[in-house]
Amino acid sequence: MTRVILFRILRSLATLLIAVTIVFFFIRLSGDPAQALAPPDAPPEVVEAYRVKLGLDKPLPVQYANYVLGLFQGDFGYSIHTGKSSLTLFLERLPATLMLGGTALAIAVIFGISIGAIAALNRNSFIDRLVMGFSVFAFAMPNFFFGLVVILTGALVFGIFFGAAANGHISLLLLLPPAATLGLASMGAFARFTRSSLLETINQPFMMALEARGVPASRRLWRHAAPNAAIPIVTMLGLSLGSLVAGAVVTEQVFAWPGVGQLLVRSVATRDIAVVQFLVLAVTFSMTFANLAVDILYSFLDPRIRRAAS
Amino acid sequence: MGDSQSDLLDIRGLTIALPEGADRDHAVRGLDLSIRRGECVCLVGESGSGKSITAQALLDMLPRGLTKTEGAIAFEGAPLPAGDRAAMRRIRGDRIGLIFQEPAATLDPVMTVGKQIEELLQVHGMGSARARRARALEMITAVRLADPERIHKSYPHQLSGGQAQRIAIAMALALKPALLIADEPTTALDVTTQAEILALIRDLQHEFGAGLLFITHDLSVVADIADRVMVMREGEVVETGTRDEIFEKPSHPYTIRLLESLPKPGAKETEPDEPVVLEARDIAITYHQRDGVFGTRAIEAVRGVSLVLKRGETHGLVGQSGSGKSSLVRGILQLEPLSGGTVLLDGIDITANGMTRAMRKRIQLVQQDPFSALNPRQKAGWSVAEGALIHGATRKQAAERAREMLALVGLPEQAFDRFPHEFSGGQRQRLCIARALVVEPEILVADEAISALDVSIQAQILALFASLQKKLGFAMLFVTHDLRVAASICDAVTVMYRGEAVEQGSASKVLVTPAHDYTRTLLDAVPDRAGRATSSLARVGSAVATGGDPS
Repeated sequence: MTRVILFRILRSLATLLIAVTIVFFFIRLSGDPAQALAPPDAPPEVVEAYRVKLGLDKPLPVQYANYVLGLFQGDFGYSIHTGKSSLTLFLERLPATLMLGGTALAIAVIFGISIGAIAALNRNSFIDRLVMGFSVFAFAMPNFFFGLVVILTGALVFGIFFGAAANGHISLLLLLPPAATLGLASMGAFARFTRSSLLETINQPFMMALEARGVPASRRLWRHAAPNAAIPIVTMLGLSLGSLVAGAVVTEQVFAWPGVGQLLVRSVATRDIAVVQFLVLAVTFSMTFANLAVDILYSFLDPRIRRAAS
Repeated sequence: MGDSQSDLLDIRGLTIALPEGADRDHAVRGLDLSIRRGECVCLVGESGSGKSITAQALLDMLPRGLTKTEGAIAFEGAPLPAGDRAAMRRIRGDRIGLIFQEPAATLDPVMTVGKQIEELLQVHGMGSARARRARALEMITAVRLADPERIHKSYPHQLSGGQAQRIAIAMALALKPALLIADEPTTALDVTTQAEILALIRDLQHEFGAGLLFITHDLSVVADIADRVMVMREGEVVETGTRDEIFEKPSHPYTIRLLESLPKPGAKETEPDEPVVLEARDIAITYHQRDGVFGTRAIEAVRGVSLVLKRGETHGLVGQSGSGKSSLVRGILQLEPLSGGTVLLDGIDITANGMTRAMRKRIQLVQQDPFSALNPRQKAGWSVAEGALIHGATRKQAAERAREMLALVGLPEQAFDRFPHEFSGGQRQRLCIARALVVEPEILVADEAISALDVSIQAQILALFASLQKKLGFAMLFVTHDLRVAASICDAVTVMYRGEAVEQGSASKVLVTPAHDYTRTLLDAVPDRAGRATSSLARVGSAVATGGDPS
């Protein structure tokens, strides 16, 4: 078992290294950062000076080696604009993003699983159709558009401006609208997934067998249907983290939420290579880690996998 | 029907309506049935005859859409409280125990079997956790499972089919129910395991003094266990009697047909010498299973098996699941890499040079499950025609050829334009046979081709194989776990056990005078038509004590 976990960790590290490499080369493919940094009418000598200062004059393999070596020493590079270390910039923004993403995930999981379960238990009823209709809507609604609708509704109908978090005061009132916007798509996905997973479980012969043995309905649901149906939903949890991260970039921008997503957009726009590189690395790390956690959790939930692993 | 005072279960005039649009009005009509304590009543019928619906009505668990329209059910002297959920819940599992067909599928896959037995005791009011555990272990021992502690903490997937069925029996009997319902409890099991489970159910039923309602489609199983037999067809009981009456003096034509469709040994005589079309020499197949991160474990599925197939001959490959017979067939068809040995098709070594498409045409396969073997979105006619198309016929020729084949296997003309789901199981297997024969193969491989079918359908398909073989002259490699089937159709037989051919020879020799112990065990395990069941079960019982479950 421990050997398997160790193997998975090694594999995750390999994934990280591949991601780092891809990001490194792609950023350099997309144009000369020194050129972009310097004022448009700067003479070639100035651009050259930037290049030397940033180490961009060295051959690519050398730059790459320096970069990777730096990573192992905890040197994640410095922002060209603010001079702060990428790590510091990231850590400054992290709490806001964690708060937003965490709330969004909680909304998606709690509401999505609940309405999905309710739909499954009332299969083919009006409630089922309502829930499924809603989940298609939730899944299909682009979050940049839905975010704008939320902001406009708040401002015009309730007289509250949800974008005010930009001024630094974060409150529950300001947190919920962007979190709901961000979690909406995942909520729809969770609802559909829960419904089909639970329906499949409920229709398994063993559920009928439990009824024939006189096990009460509530116990059949909570002790038997739920653990079995949870197994695929946990996989879904790992996957939905990716869409949350992607969604956060857009949502933070729309709501002017002072998080990592906003920082990323800004850094890309200003060609702040070191920061972009670090942020992508951080996102990759969190995704890989989340999937690793799901893998391990999976083997605790499903004895069939546990046995295959040990 | 005996003294109604001592009747444990008394059903009068049970009628269950099917929803509108079904192929008949009633799932069950006017059923009378009574069972006394300690008595075993067998309900026999093919799928769709209403026998399982009857059992579901007893538990007040009819599928949605079915309603009991008439009839009275009295259980333990009082009317069954159908509709009263709390009262029915207390009866289910406690007063009435149920054993199912698919043992593994009826256990929760993510809970240990010990916990599942204990849960049953808990929901029926056994208070102390220690008492529950003790009772669970006691029941695991009672169903003759070795190492109860280990079984107790095993998950269902860690048990063999036979072991899982023993657990299901343990659960059905744990609360000493007055009535035990066994719904096709041995159908999904191997022949030898079948015999063990039958013996176990019968012994425990006597020990616990429960009434037993045994539901099956297989009359030969009934002979071993029934006090009384009721034959059902299309929702109605067509014949009732004691076991001896039914087996010795059946009166209803349907019962007689069911009895006649049981495969009988020695139905075929051997042909004179013909040229060899297929020869397998010293076939060995080894699987490499991943073990841990980097290691692999070698599993020898087949070890040094040789066989010879002559033109027009049927060679039976007999063995239990896991004996390597399917691997061997896959190896011969070059669908599985061989780790040793050679396969000669018409004297040409196909292991060294591989098979050309023209060679593949000569050897065709009919699989076990006719449901998954057909593309559900392709019209039946084109499923059949495809083979001819691949081998160079034009669309028109292929369709023509397919129509001929459909007629040959006894399907109506309209079958061509239907989709697979519109056919019954037997008809689908006919489709698969037509599909295999459309390219005029020299060899037909039938891999458990009738195992998934009802007995009377089995007999029809077997007869179809025989008549087609006579007409078209192909050789057949017939894989089966059922010795009765092998006996009725094969010229030669190879008996496989744990990857090796333990016995080989003409069917009459192997099946009449078996030389190997394992063949004898297999033969003994075949439920007998008449009353000799007791002795054969006793023999298997002793074989179990020494050998046990091979899986």
